[in-house]
Amino acid sequence: MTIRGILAGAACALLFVVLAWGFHAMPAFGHYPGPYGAVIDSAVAQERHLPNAISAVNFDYRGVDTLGEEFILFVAVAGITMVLRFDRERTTDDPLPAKHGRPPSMRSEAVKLFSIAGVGLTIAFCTYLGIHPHLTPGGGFQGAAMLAGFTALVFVGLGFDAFRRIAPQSANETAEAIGAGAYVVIGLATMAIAGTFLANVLPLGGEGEFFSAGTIPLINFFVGLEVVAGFVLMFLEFANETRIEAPEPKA
Amino acid sequence: MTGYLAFLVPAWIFVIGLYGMATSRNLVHLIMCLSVTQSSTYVLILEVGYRLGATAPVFSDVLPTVRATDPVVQALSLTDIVVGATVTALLLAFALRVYKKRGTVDPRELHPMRG
Repeated sequence: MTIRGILAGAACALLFVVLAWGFHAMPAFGHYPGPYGAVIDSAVAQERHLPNAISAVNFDYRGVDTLGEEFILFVAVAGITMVLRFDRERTTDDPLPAKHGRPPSMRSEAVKLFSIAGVGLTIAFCTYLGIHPHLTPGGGFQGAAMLAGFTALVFVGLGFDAFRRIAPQSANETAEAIGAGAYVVIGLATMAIAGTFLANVLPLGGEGEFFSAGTIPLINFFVGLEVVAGFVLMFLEFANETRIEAPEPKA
Repeated sequence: MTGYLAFLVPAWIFVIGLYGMATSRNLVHLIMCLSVTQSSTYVLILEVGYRLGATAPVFSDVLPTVRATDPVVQALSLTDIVVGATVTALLLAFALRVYKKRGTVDPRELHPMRG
């Protein structure tokens, strides 16, 4: 037996012991004893006038955590942009010269048809999903992450230049910055009014109405804006890679 | 014992992802295995918050008094998924850089101490 085999066996045994130890102390499946969830479940309708307890946790009770989560996304997008742009010019919205040596990719008519047909459907469904966090299961993160997929459909169906025309980089950069900044601004504004960061100061409205649940749909909207712009920027950077040629060997 | 059988699912997903990472010969494959490993945490925290006979904590057409699962862990798994997706994208960007610089994505051929 090789040293490698012995080490792997020991590591597997250790992993098994740690997993068994961890699961042994867990409450049995279906018998979760934690009280917080039950408290929120029973209080959310009276306190925040919305049926979706998950959105209430995300954008209200744990709003500061979601702010952190949003900035993780922001920083990750900035990191991807920096890493991918390492050896090329800053990408702009100006028309790019065609790269020689790379023939235009051919698509079948069926691919074009189904990609373009999917665009409207994606936009309609994902916007619906994204702006109703307080009424139905859904919200800015889920809706916007899927909404960004319509730009990928355009990329598949019509190519990189069409993608850049419908999702200009400058607009997405602005939208992402607004989305990230507005969350902080809302937090500071509510702090100025109510004394607590991200206090729900807006009128709560009637449960089940579109304008209800106070700041939750508002925050959700800006989170969605940030997520969709961030994902599109990510797609743009990765798509840009498809047109970069290998550097020519130095003579 | 049967109360713990459900926890074998995240344990299995975790271990199979870990095995894939340990034996991976391709950085893209390795990053996908990391995603699999991470997705075990979604299953785990959703299972932790489950209560027998409970419905989803969205009270659109059920009364707020009905037994529902824990919304806190569901919100946590949402956070988890978003962070997981962005980390995967960032790692793929790094893999792309590695390929451009070194011409390979096989971790065994990438000696860690070369600049």
